[in-house]
Amino acid sequence: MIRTEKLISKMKEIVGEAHLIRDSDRLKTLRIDGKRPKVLVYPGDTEEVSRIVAYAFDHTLAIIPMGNGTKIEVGNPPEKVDILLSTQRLNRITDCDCDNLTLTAESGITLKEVQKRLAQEGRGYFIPLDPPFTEKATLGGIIATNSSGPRRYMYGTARDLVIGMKAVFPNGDIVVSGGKTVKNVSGYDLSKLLIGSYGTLGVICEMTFKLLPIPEKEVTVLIPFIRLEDGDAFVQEIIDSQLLPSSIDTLNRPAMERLKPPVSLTEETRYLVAIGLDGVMEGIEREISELRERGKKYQSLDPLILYSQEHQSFWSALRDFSETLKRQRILFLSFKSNFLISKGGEVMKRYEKIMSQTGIESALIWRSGNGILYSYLFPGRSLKSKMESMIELIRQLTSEAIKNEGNMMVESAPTILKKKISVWGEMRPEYQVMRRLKEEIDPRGIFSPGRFIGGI
Amino acid sequence: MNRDQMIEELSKIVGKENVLFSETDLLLYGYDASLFKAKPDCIVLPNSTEEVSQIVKFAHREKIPIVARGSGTNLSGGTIPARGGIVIHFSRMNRVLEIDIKNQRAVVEPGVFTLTLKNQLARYGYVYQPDPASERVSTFGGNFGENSGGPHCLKYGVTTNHVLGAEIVLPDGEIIWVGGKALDHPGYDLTGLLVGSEGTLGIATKLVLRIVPKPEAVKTMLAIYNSLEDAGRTVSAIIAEGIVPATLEMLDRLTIKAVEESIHAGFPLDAEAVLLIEIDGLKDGMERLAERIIEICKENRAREVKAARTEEERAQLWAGRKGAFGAVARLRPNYLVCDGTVPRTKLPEVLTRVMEVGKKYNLPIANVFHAGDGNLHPLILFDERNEEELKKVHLAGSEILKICAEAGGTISGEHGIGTEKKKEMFFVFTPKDISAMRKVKRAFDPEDLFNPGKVLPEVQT
Amino acid sequence: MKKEELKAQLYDEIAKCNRCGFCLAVCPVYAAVGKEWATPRGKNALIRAIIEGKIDWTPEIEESLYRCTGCRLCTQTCFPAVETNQGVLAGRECLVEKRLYPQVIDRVVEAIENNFNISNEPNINRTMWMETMEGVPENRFQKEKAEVIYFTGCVASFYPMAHKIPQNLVRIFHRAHVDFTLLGGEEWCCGFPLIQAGMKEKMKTLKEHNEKMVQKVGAKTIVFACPSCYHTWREMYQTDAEPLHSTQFIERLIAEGKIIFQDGRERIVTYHDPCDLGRNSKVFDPPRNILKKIPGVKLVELENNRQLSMCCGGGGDLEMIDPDLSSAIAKRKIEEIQKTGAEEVVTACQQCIRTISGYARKNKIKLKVRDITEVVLEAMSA
Repeated sequence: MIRTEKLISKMKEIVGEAHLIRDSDRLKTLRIDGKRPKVLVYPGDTEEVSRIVAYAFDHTLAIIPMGNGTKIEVGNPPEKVDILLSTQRLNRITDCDCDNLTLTAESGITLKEVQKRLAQEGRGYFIPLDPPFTEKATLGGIIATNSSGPRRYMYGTARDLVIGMKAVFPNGDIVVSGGKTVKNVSGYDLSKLLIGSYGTLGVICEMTFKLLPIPEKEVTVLIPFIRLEDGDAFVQEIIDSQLLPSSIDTLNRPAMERLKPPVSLTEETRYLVAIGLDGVMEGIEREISELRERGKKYQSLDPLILYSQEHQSFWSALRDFSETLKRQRILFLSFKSNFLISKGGEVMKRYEKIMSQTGIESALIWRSGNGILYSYLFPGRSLKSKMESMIELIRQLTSEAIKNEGNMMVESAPTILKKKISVWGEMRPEYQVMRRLKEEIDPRGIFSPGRFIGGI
Repeated sequence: MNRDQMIEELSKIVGKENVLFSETDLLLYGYDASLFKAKPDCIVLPNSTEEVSQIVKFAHREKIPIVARGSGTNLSGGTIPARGGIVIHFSRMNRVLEIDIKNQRAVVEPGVFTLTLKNQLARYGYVYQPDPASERVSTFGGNFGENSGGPHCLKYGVTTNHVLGAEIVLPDGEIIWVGGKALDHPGYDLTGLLVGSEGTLGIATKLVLRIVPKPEAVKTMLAIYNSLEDAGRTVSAIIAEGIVPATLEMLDRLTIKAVEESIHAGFPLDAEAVLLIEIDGLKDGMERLAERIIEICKENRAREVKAARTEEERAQLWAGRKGAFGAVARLRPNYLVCDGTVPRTKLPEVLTRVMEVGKKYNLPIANVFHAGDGNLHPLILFDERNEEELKKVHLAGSEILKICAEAGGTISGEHGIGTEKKKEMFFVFTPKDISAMRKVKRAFDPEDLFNPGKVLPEVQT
Repeated sequence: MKKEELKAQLYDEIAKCNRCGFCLAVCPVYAAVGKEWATPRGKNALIRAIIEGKIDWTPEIEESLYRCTGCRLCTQTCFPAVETNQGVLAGRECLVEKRLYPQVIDRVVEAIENNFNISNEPNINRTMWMETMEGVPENRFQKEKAEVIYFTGCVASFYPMAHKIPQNLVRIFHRAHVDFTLLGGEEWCCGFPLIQAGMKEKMKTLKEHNEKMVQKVGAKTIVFACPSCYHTWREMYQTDAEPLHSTQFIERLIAEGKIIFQDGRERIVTYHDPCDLGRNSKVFDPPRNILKKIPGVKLVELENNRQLSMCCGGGGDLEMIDPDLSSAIAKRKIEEIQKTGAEEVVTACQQCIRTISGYARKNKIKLKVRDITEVVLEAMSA
């Protein structure tokens, strides 16, 4: 207890009384897999982050960094949480250099706010990232969890868009890598290491993104299919063509129903291929008509075209699929599987089959151009009784992905289940290197202990 | 261990004919395309991952440094054996293992020349986007180690954006796979960390590359200027307008002169600068975009903008760009290429300052570079045999990097730190940054056996 | 040659090499060997190190410098166009002075010194290719005075495999009513093998003799079917007679209406540019123009053609010095030929034919390799 008191007084000294929470009822609501933090701190700048971390390092206290907490549930249950470090007050745009097509901002600002600001600059710009939790996701959270969305098909993911980073390492050092040039090979690319490191290597405090101008026009083409094989063949043809869609997602019927697209789909539609188009007017017109024609070759039903508001709300509903479920307090499990691009249709079919055998409803969203499948399972209330079959199901789904040169991670599941499975999928020999990196960078294991792959 | 024993052990692994150790060979593997030289103890030419692993295991056991090498085109001394030891030359591991169109991936060995793969992909209508100027001979192992760039990286990103996985031999000889054909493998992005690590963390023995269908249409334009600043301003203006061309390359007066004397690309001799602008993508709307670019050029006082009308004309313009380095080399025997990179808005002012450095040291400087990326390549011309000049060249090069760093840029955009720019690392990094990088090095290579003495300067702890 | 002379002649040239390594992509020797000593860059580095006194001549340097086909594709694709082959040849001259050179060279030198040809047979046998030919005139194609001299070359004269070339060429001349003569036993080796061996000074007598003979005949034109003889003549000889390669001469005969082609077989043909004819003497179009005039022939180009043509492996005495390496290079050439889908490859050099068809025969690859003279004669007779 004395230790906790000391910790809190030290934190107060660093961030000020107003910027920390120690009230145990409040902290209870912030439990991570049942573990309650001793204190929640809101540092105001990188310097403060550094001091907090240095203190934690000296006293071997566990820190979990967090933005708005939209993905805080991902990962193994933590071994320990002493300090929950919120980046919410690190919310400044430090350098908005649209003429150079770069933006530097702190990690606690939401992507939404940044996009709003960028849209107002000059001719209008954006960071080409469209991860889930449209309203709440912070830049730091997106990068730390390598969160991405449908438009990754054209624009890539954080590893393609982040060109510089400032982070506080576990010893409290403020470390910079990269910069604001689009090409940079000076030193090791530490940004890559921190992207998707889920708060296990330090606190990301500031990062620089590549920007793009807002496209002249954006449209969505929804192409319904009765048979998955047809949808799959159609998707493969588009990927192999010279057309340049920004996103290609395929949804099964349960996903469509829960998504409630802004347009009505016919009863017979079993699968929906949603294609986002960004670009110049002339190109989009041409692409719409080609998609229509090519769809017919594969027995598509009549395509629907969504413009402006409809287009926007379709994709945000798709991105925020899990958030909506959460808001509705629906119990669900979600998995992310990766595999060879060309095997998506096959994997989706196998997944449907495996899941239907367990009698659980499942919504599937297949990021068709990237070989990624998001599965959402709705086990109902009696999860406890189904525990064994869930474990078996996860095993089967994982092995299906591995068979196709991929893997599967469990993004969202009750703690009790997470404790019994490998949240990050099957471990490969490269894990040994990851562990060594973790040990070198965080020798006392203070950052998000136990949460990452293999208990890193 | 004495050298005879070392040679005997290595011969057991790769066969006698694939171990080189004569004084002549030691000289021949002591250089690359930079101004630095060193001397290895021997050279090995393996033919398989297994052999590489055995060589590395042996070296690890005996604490012998190892440098992996492809065509030795490195411009920063990255492939010279700074602390001696074994050079692994990958010329025998030069097979394209798989072209997997369905999954849009190619798998190659490290010794494959970049262009060799591209030529094979052309048959399928596919491309591998990065196009280092040395693509004819640069190997994928080298591209991987250096995170190579090239003109088309403006739109498509550099090597790291196109390498999705690799088979890696670690400094203890263990073989692992990082990443793979599928995206988003759980765990740290080791592939991203390894690309550009200059052979100091691991040796790639197989690489998985992203390949994509060739763009439907391409349009190439040449804008001609009476002032270098105007050309620089045009680059900033195009980017600021939100147009990201496939390439945006600049050549200055001295370069134009040299190019025209050797290649006749059709650049006007009295121009101060030309911009080579290429856009690609869907054919629809391309004309309109081209017109807008031409307008921007004219708004920034281009005296003329020409568009290539045929594939021959396009090839002609590119021959001028691609032959520029060499053409410049006809003016003086040698050149030092600086690789400083700046935010694109800073181009006009940085260019002016770079030219002042040339005047200060009385050394001719030719500029031919990836303007759209802000990646300068001032070529400082000199004669390597003149020691006085050689000294001045190093000083001038360092000063140019300082200017780039001060402008918010960095010291290397695509050529790497190697041996050459270690002390300049402090222009952009603090000792804390360097010690963080050092931790990564230790995690992979605690005994400092892979390409020792490169990238990271010493820091007092 | 002494080191000082090497420095005076080549230091500035070699110093232009920035070690960029672009030559590695095209050098046929490197493609086959895969080691730095085989590269043009490496050869330049060695010569430079010698000049700068950093190393001394060693057997390894001998191995390196004597493995170059002289194809000069490196120079063609080198930005500052470093003349690596000049360095290589000068380096060989130095090595000869140190008596560091492949033994096999002595045999050729001895042959040339004794008999003025590479075959070490009495030079009178230069016309023995006529033995298997019908309708040889009594003068054995030799006259005191003629408009044209046909310089046969050692390989075509003495190696039965190449006998078809002079046989066909004299028939073509005969049909086209060309006033020509051979020098017969008075034709001496042009000196090319000596230059390649690094013994340029030994060719002085040969050159003087050949020049005198040409003078005596008073010919206006001297025709070579061998690109290396032709190239050597152009570079080293001074005579009033205009040196022409047979393809240039035949092209003229066609233009003058002296050669008329009958109908020919429909077929796809590709053409291999011999290094000494194409890149090194800049004769690219005459052979192509001839082939295009032949009825039925559809000419497809090799992937690397004209200035960028890949060596067959037979250049620069390499076949004699290192037959295995020569073969390895020929293999790549054959693969390139096969990629075109052509049923026959035509070239204009006996050495190229020898290397390519030799490899094909040894490895049981079905490939028709023909000299252009054979193709021309066939089309005239068809």
